[in-house]
Amino acid sequence: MANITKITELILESLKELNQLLPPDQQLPLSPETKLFGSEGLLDSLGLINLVVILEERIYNEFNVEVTISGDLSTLQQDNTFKNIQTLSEHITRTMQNKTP
Amino acid sequence: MSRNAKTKILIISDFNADNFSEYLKNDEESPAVISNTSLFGQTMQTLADFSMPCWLDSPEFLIVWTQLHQISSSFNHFLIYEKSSIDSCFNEIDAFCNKLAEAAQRVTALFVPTWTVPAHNRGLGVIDLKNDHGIGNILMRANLRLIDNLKSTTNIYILNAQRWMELAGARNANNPKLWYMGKIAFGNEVFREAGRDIKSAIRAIRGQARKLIILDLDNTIWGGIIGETGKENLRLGGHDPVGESFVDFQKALKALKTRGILLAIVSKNDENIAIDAISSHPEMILQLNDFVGWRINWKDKAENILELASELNIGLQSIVFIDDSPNERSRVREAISEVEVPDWPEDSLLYTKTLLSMRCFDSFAITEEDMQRTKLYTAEKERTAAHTAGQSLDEWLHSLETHVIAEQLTSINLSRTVQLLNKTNQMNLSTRRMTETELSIWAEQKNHHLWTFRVTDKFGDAGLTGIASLEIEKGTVSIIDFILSCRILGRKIEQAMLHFIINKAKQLGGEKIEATYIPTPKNQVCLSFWKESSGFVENADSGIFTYNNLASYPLPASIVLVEN
Repeated sequence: MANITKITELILESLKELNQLLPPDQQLPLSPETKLFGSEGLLDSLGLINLVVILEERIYNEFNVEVTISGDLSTLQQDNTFKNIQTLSEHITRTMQNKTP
Repeated sequence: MSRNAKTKILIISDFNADNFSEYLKNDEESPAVISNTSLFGQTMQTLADFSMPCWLDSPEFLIVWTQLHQISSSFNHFLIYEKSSIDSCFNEIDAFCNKLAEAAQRVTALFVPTWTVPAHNRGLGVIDLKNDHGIGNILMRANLRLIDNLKSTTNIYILNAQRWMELAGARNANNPKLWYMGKIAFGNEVFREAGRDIKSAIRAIRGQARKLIILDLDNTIWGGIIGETGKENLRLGGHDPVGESFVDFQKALKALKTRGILLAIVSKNDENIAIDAISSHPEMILQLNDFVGWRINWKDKAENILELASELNIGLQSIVFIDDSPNERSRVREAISEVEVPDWPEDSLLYTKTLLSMRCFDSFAITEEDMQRTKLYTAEKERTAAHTAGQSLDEWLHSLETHVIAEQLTSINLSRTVQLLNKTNQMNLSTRRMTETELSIWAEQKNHHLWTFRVTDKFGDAGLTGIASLEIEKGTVSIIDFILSCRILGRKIEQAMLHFIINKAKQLGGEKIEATYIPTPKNQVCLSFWKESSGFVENADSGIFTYNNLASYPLPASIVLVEN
């Protein structure tokens, strides 16, 4: 069952994998306080795309559930879903709870 | 290039290759890389215009990774089941290959991944391969066309991208989300596998392939501990999954040996018991004569490996050590950092898969010498053994009946010559590293001359084991390359080569001949030869050795020299 702690853990694992795609001086700190996207965010748009795809795959591998974060990416950018790890965790947890019958 | 300089790679692609570029840069395996991507979707333009900014950094290696439907508009029609012509498709592929061949002249090597189509595209389904217009059918023929067009260009390497897709798995090979959101054609696992293969290829081109596997015995090439169970109770062959897995592992090792990789044993065992098992167990695939040496005793394995490497005159950086014991692996890793010690699975059913997936044996060519390498080493042991007590060096050399055959560089010996040029470290005057194309171009210049030297004796043919090249400028003849395989050092082949090239220098009008020694961490042997045995005079300040009297340089009496 998805809970916010587990989701946060998956996000941090995804960031670790994402860092392999980033130059050393642009790699993200693996911390719940890390700001992801937006005015103070550390990711550019390609980084965001990579994070979303990696994270969706990790969620699938963990829960055997397809969660589509990417479909409404532009909406998520506008409403600060990707502001930091906490906001992202909350969004995903809500999405998964909505999927559970 | 300095030892710490990063390798420059340019990636030309028709998709966003930024992820691939970053994997290459961040991957810790050697070589360290600076990679640059051209503007994607401009493949043919970038291949046609060398003034574009991406070329200005003079990349050493080029990767051109495309999708067939971007190269061939005919294939686009096939993808949507419209009528099209396979000949038109081939014409487009041929034009692409011509551009690749031109670009290849600007780099050390060019890598071209084969074309793939996502696994979820089943094309015409059950008749997709049978029908000449099936997507799978055309894709295979297109890739064969690509291979046939490019295989004769010596510095172009076609890489099997389908393998990367299979290793990544269907879910990860092609992710439509990455494509639609970022124009990234493949999943990151594909890029990881591609990066590993490309770095392995670069190491192979630079002569850094591993060439000796040192093997443990118990639970490594057979199941069980022979000292405890006896050979009758070893798990080897038979109707037993574990026994079968060990037989297959031995077969895979033997296949590597046929390809030119040497095998040796380092095992903590009673030597007589181990040798008896190897020689007489009915399921043994590997026989004693498959191994070029062994140390079977109770000594420290790291110590044994060092002794064996010294006996075989093989550099530690050429060795792989395989042992089922994590403790032994850890010991050797710590003691001898140059030896590659792969992590090894606990389950013998995974041994063959692990061995076959190793990239460290990748070579840019397989020559006749490679296929005979074990025999060459065994013959060398016989030569050394024939040196009887009390026999002088000259008597022994006479007894070998050595013939040295000198020959110019040809298309037939080019591959082996470049292999020797790139992998010889010890007896190497200038340690130049060149591709086949680069060496051919160098040798064709009017004032350059290169000869190869093949050595035979009564024990067999040691193969092409020497290279000497000259550059002539206004009466001064400079020896550029002076190379001899470590297997045949100290048999006066060196002096025979000098005799030959000094005679050639005279014939070419030279007045004096000199050799400039370029030091490396590994060619002290070469310096010792030039200082002590060459007959040349050293200028200690410049590192140049000179032979002023071109009248005569004696041929060693123990050698018969022939020019082809």
